[in-house]
Amino acid sequence: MRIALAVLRRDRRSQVATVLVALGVMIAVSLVLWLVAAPNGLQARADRTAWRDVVGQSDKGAISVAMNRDSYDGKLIERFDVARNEQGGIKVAAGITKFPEAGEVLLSPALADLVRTTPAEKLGNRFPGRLIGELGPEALKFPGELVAIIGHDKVENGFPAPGLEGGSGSYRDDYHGMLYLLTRVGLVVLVVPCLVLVASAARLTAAKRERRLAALRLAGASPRQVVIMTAVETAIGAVAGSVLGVVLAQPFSHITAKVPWEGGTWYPGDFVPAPAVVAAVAVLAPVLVITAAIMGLRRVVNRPLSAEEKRKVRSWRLLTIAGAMGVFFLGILYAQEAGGDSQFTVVLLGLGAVAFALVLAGPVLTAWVGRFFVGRWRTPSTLLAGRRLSGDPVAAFRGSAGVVIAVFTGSMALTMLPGLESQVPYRDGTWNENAIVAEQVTHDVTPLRLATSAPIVTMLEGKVSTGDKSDDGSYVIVGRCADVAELLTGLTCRPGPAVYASAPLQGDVFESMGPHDSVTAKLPAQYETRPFEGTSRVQVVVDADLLPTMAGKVSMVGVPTTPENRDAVHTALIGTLPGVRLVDGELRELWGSTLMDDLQRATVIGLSIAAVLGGIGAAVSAAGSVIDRRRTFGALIAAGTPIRVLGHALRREVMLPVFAVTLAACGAGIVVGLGLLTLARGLVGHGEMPITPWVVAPVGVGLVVALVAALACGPVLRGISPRDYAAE
Amino acid sequence: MNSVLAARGLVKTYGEVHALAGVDIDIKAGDVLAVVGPSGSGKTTLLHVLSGILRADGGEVFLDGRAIGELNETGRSALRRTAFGFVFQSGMLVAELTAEENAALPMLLAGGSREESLGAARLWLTRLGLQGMEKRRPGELSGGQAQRVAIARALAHRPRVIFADEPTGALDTRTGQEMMTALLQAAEETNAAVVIVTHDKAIADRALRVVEIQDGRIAAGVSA
Ligand SMILES: Nc1ncnc2c1ncn2[C@@H]1O[C@H](COP(=O)(O)OP(=O)(O)OP(=O)(O)O)[C@@H](O)[C@H]1O
Ligand SMILES: [Mg+2]
Repeated sequence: MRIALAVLRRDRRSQVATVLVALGVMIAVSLVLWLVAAPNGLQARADRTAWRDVVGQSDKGAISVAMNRDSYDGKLIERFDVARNEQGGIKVAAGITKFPEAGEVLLSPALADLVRTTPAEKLGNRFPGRLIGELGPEALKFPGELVAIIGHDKVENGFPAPGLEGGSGSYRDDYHGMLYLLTRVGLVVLVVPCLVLVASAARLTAAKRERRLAALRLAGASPRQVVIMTAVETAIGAVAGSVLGVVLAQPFSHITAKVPWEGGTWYPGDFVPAPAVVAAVAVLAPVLVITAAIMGLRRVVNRPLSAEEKRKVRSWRLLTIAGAMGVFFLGILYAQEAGGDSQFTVVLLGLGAVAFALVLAGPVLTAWVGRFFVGRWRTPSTLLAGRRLSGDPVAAFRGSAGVVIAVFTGSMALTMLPGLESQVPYRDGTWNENAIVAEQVTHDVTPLRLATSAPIVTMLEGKVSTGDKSDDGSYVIVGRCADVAELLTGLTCRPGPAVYASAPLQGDVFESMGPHDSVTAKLPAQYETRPFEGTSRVQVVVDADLLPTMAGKVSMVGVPTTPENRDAVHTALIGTLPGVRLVDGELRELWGSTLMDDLQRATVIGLSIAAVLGGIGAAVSAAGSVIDRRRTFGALIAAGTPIRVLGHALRREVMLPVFAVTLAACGAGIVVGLGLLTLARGLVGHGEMPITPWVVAPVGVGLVVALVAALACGPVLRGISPRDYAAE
Repeated sequence: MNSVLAARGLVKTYGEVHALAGVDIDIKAGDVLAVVGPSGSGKTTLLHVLSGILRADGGEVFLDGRAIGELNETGRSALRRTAFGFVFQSGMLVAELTAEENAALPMLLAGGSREESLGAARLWLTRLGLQGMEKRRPGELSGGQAQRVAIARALAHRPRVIFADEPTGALDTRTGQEMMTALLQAAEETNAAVVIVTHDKAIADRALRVVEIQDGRIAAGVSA
């Protein structure tokens, strides 16, 4: 123990290694804490917004609530129209000052600001009433969220709820499931390069230490003493790194809180992991590192005079890739059947298996590349690199493991992202782009007519059937064709009442649909059917004149807008028809692009960190491999080998396996990405699988990272003096 | 006959320590010079300065009458791989390369083609009694065999001078003598001069000349 400390005090290389071990452990610990904390962040959000999940808990309730998503200027607004059904106190969640009575409004601070700075007819009129307070952060999903709670006498489309208070929230919806999946994938992707970094740092001293310990053993030190010495040396770095990592996780979580997700950033406290988790990670990390160091020493300790061993890798390692792929796809199959939480776990296990298999198989590919070049070298640098790769593929590959994993994930992400893009909610094209349509209208539309001068188109939904109970009928919209044509895509009217459909209607019984009580009427015996191709949702339009008894009945209101009056019309619709669901193209696109932005941002951040970490790990490992062979290189330089040639050989040595294995990793990434996409498609139900040439971009990035890492050999190599052959 | 390698007034200091304090030496083609002396007397330093691994602080080394002190590191490096050959204490072979590749390495580095270099290497390995072991790695050779590969490596590119720093240090007496025999024979065939640093009296006795170093000076130059 004292010897270890003395060595540490004097030997610069041991110091460097200790610092690097500390650095690796530090980064690993704070990354793990961060990623472990992500579900906490989601939970915190879910807890704060639990009051929004009260609907559906009972058939009768003290209040009625209509929840809708609205948007203004590209920002999402969460809107709650509420009305009380009975007298007495109503429970509200923390952050909600009081239950808003009719004519009272609660806004989130950000929305209140926005309302203050925007003309009322564009935004403020959407929230008719007196502002009685602002929502506290305890009731908001993220800082700056736009939320409104509007009190009414009666909410037309309201659902009963006991109050504005929920239990503890659950975040397991699709969107959050995505983040959950991302953080778990991230855990694998980021921790592997950290491990490589720690392992390479530990190896920096290992070769030297092995020799020193062998000498100590010969001098009569007991295996126990030797092991204790190693443990102490590694422990200093590992424990220091772990402590630093925990300390660093704090400011780190504040940076993370600035990364937007699902429309907003986080509160700083969101990313704080549970103390027990912190303690576990902080203790486990150094224990693992020290255990690894001791295990690595067992060889030396047990055989003091161990000769250089030839490390053979067997080709069966390649089979593990096939095996892992099999596991992965079985997982996908299972996940498609099972659903729920176990779905993610199974897929993640498969993913981990593939990543692990890549790392296992890497040396085999490395050895193959080496053998290929040994067969056809022309220059000494190719010979040196080739022999090194085939001679000790495990050591040659070790450093690039992080880069390989990053490339694997990168290609996976690039395969998935465009595919996911085609899956996120999109405009279905039923309505013209300039149309805003309010669905589920039971309201009196007179206030709307007063509030806006824009033309208002009223429509009634229903179905036409033979009247038989077994006949589902066809969904139709009743309205004045000329007006409806302003909203609906692909509808061309001609004078005179008619039915617009692609085929004649079966039956003549019309039954209205929508939130109000249904009424029936009969179509005339004779009418004209004119061609209408139909859109995805609306196949048939019935001229209002054919059903005169339905006049005045409304279940949908649409307004064709101009860019100038769009916000005002939107505001008028929302303000005068509280609780309606608006179909406005902007809203849907907004939702979809938020998800894509989030995914892209998370991927880019994760992969950048992975690439940098992988690069550092590869650089340390490359430098370590030079230091390990310092005497050989010293002898070569003494015998007149130009440093240039050695540098060249070393660069090849680092680059060639990275190139070969990243190509394989890229292939695996594409296959796995397609698999995950299949799973996602199963969840969403649509989407294509476009593969762009970009999926091979990670290979390029991986090579650049490897090249930079290889350049780290340069200074180390120049630091070697020809007299080093005699060192130690 | 003119000296292949000559040194005049070589001085090398490490801070306070005068590793070399004015050494004159002349080495002719085919010469076999043993450098002996107590530990720390400056033998290795002399070898390094003579071979251009180290630059002298004073004095000059001449190869074929040309001062090598004027060359930069690239030039001296080129000199080392063309004009000189080295045999180190424990072989210092490249662990990943086979015996023949190790032996061919200096020729390859000097720009020799694959066939030519490997051919010469194989020839020398055979002469040194290593036929059949060309494809072995250093780890699969005995200490004496590895040292003979090192001799093949030092000779394959037909250098003018071979430097050997305690080449028998890691070998037992008999193997050491065998190695010496091989080295001297091989050097004779190429007419290369040999400078060999050794602690071993029996090894030094096989040299044509023995130079004894003490505190960085030549204490006695004994010609055989
Ligand atoms: N790099 C160095 N820095 C400082 N002093 C050095 C260095 N190399 C050698 N010396 C000193 O120079 C002197 C001569 O060293 P050298 O290695 O030439 O001795 P040597 O005769 O080869 O000894 P040995 O027989 O033990 O190998 C010694 O006193 C040594 O301590
Ligand atoms: Mg010496």
